[in-house]
Amino acid sequence: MQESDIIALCRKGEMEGYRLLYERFARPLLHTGLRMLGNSGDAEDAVQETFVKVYRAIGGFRGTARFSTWLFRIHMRVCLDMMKKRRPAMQLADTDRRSPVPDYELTLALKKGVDTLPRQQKACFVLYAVEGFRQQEIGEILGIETGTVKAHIHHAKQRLRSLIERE
Amino acid sequence: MHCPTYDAYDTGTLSEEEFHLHARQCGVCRELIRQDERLLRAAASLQEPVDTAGVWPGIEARLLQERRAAAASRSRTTWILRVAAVLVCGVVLTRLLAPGWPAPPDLLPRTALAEVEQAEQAYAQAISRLEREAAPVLESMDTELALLYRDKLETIDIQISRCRNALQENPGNTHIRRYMLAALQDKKETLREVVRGTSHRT
Repeated sequence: MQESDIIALCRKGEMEGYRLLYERFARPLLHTGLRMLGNSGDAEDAVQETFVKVYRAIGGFRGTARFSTWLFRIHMRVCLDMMKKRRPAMQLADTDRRSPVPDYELTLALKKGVDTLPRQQKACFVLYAVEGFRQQEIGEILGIETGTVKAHIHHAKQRLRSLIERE
Repeated sequence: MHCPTYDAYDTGTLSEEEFHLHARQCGVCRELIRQDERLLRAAASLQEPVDTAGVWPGIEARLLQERRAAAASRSRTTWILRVAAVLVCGVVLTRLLAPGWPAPPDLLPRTALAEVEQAEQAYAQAISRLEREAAPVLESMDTELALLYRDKLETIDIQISRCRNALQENPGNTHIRRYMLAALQDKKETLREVVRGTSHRT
């Protein structure tokens, strides 16, 4: 089904529309939430809150921006709000020890490093390096200039580089 | 390890071509490129498996809760609007059908009648413009909210039509003119609400 048809279903309040949206975007939303908030429980809460906000605001989505940009804009606001209210969790995500990730020590160091980044640097780095968004898109999601996105990513990389070079 | 040329390239103030020309001669920049590549490869591996199936039931339950809450709120508002519309139409009809309607003191003088007719025309023009702006907004609106607005506008149109019919017999009647103007104002405000409402939503 085309994305525009799914959005039309959602506008009518049809659960099937939201289920299809969830199938399409759950993985990157959960990944981003996990990296931003540090644990799967908070990431799941953030995704749930994002969908409630989408439900309330879908009537106002005019299609001038890409739907994924609009969706991630909502999701990042939810994550950043949650980070302000809660102390960021320093523990690793639940799946870490179970996943057979090569170069485990390096990944562990990187996760710890990402968790310690300031909020905006973390948001820009996660969207860029983990989720693969373009810098201009990240600017649209976070409501900041592309130049500011580049600066945040640059500073994030500076901090993280020194961490992983020790591994 | 630091090179200002690398910083300029990474923050977008130096072109890729100029940077690569510099990097050919700068060991620091070449090492920074290597470290960045290693960092970004490691970052990509942070995309670990997540359980998406287990999260949907909670989301669905929340959305159904939202839908029920919104429907209950709109039913209450629809009921209140319908009662109000019936009361207004009832008052208009009672005045139209009551014996001795209209009494001579309720007639507008000719100049005042001309002014009132001008005001009605101004409302009609504003309404026509707002109807054109509101049509696409209503199409894209949440179905239940759109139905609520269409209901209200239909009720007001019935009011306006009854007043117009009554004015054919009694064009100078103050009371009917007053109800007509009230109905036109109500329609204009409702259409404005529709058009203005979505600009606050994103």
